[in-house]
Amino acid sequence: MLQRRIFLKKLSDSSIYILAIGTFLNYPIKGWAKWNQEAFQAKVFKKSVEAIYGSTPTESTDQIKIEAPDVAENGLSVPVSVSSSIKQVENLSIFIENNPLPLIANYHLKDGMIPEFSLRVKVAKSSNIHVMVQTADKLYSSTRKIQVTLGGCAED
Amino acid sequence: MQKTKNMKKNIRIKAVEKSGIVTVKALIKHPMETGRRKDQEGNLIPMHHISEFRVLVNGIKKMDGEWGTGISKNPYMSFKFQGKKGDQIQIELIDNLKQTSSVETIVQ
Repeated sequence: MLQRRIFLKKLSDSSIYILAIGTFLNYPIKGWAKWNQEAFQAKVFKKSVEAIYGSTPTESTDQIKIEAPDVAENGLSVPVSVSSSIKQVENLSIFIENNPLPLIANYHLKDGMIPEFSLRVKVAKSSNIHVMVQTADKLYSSTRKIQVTLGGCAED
Repeated sequence: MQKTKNMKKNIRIKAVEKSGIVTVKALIKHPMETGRRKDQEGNLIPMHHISEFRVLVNGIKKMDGEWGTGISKNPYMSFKFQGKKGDQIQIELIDNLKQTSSVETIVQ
């Protein structure tokens, strides 16, 4: 009788461990790109660029087009389109210089992806939008000015 | 067969091919809280935003990306790749609270 109770207790103890381990293994840690905390939490544009690209020299180019309204009425949702005719783009990132956290998005492209994206962004106050495009051996950038009449990062 | 699969019904997606280029447009339901906004009592609403996403085409990763809090609420995203009708696209998202979401569709 005692043997059975001990056996059952040992069984229930171990099943709790198995359950705990199972839950842990289901947690989706693997397979996601590492979110670049340093870059996304940088408060200064230059720092956020450095956090992604280090000290790689940047070349200004007209091969990156940034489409955005010259004046945005609602800074909470500003449509922006970026495109580039540069070949073999591996990385593309978007910054809004005067936002509290300038880095907006960072894309990693594989073969067959076209460097052309549309998205809606928050613009805190009139600012430069910078787009950086990286190939295997070069880093390019382009800038466009955008004004807002009603800032997009203000408290509602 | 269902064209689009989205279990949580929080992502609308459309993928169309023309001249060998597939254009994908997606509208995602998400509060994208910056963590700097205050509620009516003056308390900070915690940060809650999509932090990463990835795009798979026919099971192969085509792109991944990271988003910060500068992306607008209920994000719209559009992207393009070289592809064809019948390609299977999958978008997977994860936010800073580790909640995940995904959608699958077939290129028309």
